[in-house]
Amino acid sequence: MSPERIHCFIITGFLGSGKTTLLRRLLADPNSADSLVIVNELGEVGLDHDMIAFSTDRTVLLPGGCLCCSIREDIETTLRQIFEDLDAGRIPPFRRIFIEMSGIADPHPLLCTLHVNPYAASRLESPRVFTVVDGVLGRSTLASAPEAARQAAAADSIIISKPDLAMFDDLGGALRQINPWAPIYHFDLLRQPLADLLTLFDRVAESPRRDVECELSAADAHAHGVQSFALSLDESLNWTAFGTWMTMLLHRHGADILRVKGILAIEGNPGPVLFHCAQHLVHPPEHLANWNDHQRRSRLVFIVRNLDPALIEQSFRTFMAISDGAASDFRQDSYLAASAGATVAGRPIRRPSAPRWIKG
Amino acid sequence: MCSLCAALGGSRFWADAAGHEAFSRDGGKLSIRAEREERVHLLGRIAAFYGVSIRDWGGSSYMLETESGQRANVYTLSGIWSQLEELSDQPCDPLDPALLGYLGAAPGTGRREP
Repeated sequence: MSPERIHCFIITGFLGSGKTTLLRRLLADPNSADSLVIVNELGEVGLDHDMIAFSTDRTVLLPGGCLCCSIREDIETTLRQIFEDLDAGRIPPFRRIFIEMSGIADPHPLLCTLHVNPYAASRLESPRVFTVVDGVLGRSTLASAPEAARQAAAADSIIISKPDLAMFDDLGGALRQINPWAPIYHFDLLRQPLADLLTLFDRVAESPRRDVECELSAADAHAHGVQSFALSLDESLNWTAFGTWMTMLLHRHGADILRVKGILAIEGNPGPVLFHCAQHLVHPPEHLANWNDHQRRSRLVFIVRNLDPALIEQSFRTFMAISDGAASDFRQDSYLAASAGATVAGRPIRRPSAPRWIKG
Repeated sequence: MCSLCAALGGSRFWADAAGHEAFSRDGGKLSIRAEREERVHLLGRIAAFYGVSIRDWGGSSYMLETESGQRANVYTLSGIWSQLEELSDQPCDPLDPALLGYLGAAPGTGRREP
């Protein structure tokens, strides 16, 4: 029997937002004893590492670089070491991994690494991103630092720290504009009961990532051109056309398509298909048996940067429209045989793919 | 593995529906051949704007060909776009109003000149 998958949490947030405080509080809970921590820090001195080291003896430090670019291999090496030690019984079993990212790191490359790394893919649950936003400085940070906007866009859950000091500057509205899905929690990280924090993490880990319903904020908070919008289509989609359009869009604009979530009505399929991608990383589509209470129609929500929503919608509708009757319009010369007797670049293929005595 | 070109078979791409049990076409199975025919047709409509034709080569890869006869063999859907850009020497942008106008118009009209 395969071992139980381990929950993986990525804690991100801009410099000084309260990531390390959150982690320290999480680890102070006796129920978090079965957790492992990976800390990524920018700079020579692992200050955060020292601050949480007393909380757990199972802390791994990734020093001297930002996780987003220079040491992606380190997280792979670290994961391999961790799982080899775990399998050999050198470290006690654990149920959760917390990865604390540096304050200026973009979570996307780490998500890509966890998606393709064999250890992560086979032993970890799909990672959940928690973004900590400073309740006091968050609004100005979102406006001034593109990293902060990317971190907010990547979040599965957003925690606003220091709510007691927070100004009434519609930080929630600004965050909604960047990320319409992630639930927002207001936590005083120093005073919040310990059990609340760990319970929240465990609850998020157990919940399926299926909710595409969201509220789109009307707040005028286009932080660095980041904004969200929704497309909907009453007719069923052609999956082949959708895949063609989306691969072309991600090829050209993947860096600016921060996230897409969708519930799609596909031609010939009774239930909805859930689509989820973050920049170039597309998760395998998920199929549901039926629509339950939802009306059968496709709905896609985008978080984009410096792209015109009207143009994306026009492109989407144009590509879906040309798919009508595509199969019946197929021409025979669209197929090029690759076997003996065919030609490639004017040269005949002489070698059969299998000898005649095998073919019979 | 392809015995002609020694290329290893690619793993499943997220957009591949054929062979995926959850995808069906009105209760029936969707064949790889049918899906590729449909995809090649769609790709052909788009590539024609850039003066390139696309054909399914042997059911396992795509053959891109310019009007001057230059060819390229691509194994994945996502790889087609960069190859198309290289052959046509133009960026392939699905948000390009000229492309959208071409796709929205009658087939065979308004091709982009290199």
